Amino acid sequence: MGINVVIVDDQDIIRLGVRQSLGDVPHITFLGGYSDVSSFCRSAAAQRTDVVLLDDSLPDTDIVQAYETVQEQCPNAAVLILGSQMSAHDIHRVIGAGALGVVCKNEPVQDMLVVGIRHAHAGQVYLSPSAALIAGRLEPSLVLTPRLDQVLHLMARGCHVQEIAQELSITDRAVYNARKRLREILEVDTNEQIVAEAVRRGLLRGDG
Amino acid sequence: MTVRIVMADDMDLALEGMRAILRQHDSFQVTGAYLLLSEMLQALVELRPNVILVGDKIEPGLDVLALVERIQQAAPRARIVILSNLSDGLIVQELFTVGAAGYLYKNDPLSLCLVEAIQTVMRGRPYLSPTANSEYLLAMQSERAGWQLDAEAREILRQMARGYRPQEIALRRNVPVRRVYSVCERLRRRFGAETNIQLIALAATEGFLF
Repeated sequence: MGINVVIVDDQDIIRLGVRQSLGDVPHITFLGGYSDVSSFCRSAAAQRTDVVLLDDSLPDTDIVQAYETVQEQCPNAAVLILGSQMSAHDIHRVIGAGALGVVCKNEPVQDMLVVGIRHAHAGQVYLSPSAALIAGRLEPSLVLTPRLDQVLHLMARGCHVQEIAQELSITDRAVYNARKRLREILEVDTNEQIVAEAVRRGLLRGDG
Repeated sequence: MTVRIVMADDMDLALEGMRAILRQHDSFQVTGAYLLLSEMLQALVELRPNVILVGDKIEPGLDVLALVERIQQAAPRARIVILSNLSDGLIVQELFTVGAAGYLYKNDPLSLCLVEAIQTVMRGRPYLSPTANSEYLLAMQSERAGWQLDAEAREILRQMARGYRPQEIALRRNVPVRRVYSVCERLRRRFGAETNIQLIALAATEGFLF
């Protein structure tokens, strides 16, 4: 019996690439590609789908939200994430929410995709080598406190110390302390490095 | 006439997708597809492509302008078409200045745009996808336009992100510190940033830092 697979990705070359890659694979039937979650959920294919390949960077969509929508609408489908910019935190969140695997797009995906689909269909979690490497980098200290996270985001949005203090109703001194703490946590010397490092570690995605 | 095409991208699915689009045209011949920039650069001498399609994220640690310069050195006659992950209208002018021939976003409907792009650059004309075109027009109208992100500016950006302070950057570059401040000011205007910290956050998001 074949495994019915769809891809949800806003880039048409990726949809075409998946179609090509899965075209001749035995026991896998490619049902089609969709540019967003809702058009997939409305489609006739939705209720016949065994495995959904889900893009991690759909416009204006958080990966966990996208996963949960798919899961609500198609409770019988397994979801495998196709990631291009996932942080350790993202991978832990989405696997924690119930996704059955992550494959990163910037590694030789074609073979891993097939392995990942078979694992997900069997109810087992599959992480591609790159995804496993990223997931392993989660350091406990890098889950920032809400306060540090707020200060970091306001810094990246161009707020001066006084503005940050006002916005968060704290003293200037507390902002200086938060920046000092961020420099310690991220092991850097300057405030410019804080944000560069934060972007690199995926702490400032999409809203810098 | 057959158009010889070489492609490089960090995603094999994207290469596979582009191959599927180009296969439908007899006049196009894909002579090489690479996941690594170094392998493509090595092969260019022998392959002598007319068109090179390259993803802007192919080489970690290389910004898109440096990428075009590198490819151009290896294949001065080839037309370079960039497939970008970001939509940034301001980069367009800079890309064409360093020698790119075409610019597309990965989010464009590439089944339509890719073929048009290749045909256009082969006629010696620059190509912008419709989305890139409108982003470019918007960018040109903004006050952020009109200044090139040159090698000096890119280097100063990187040094700031590595933790050097303006005085140290000035010393290392052997220029007066006010020169560094004035480049920073233009950089802030270019990226639309209020502070140097925001500048670094924006530049990092757009792939100018690593």
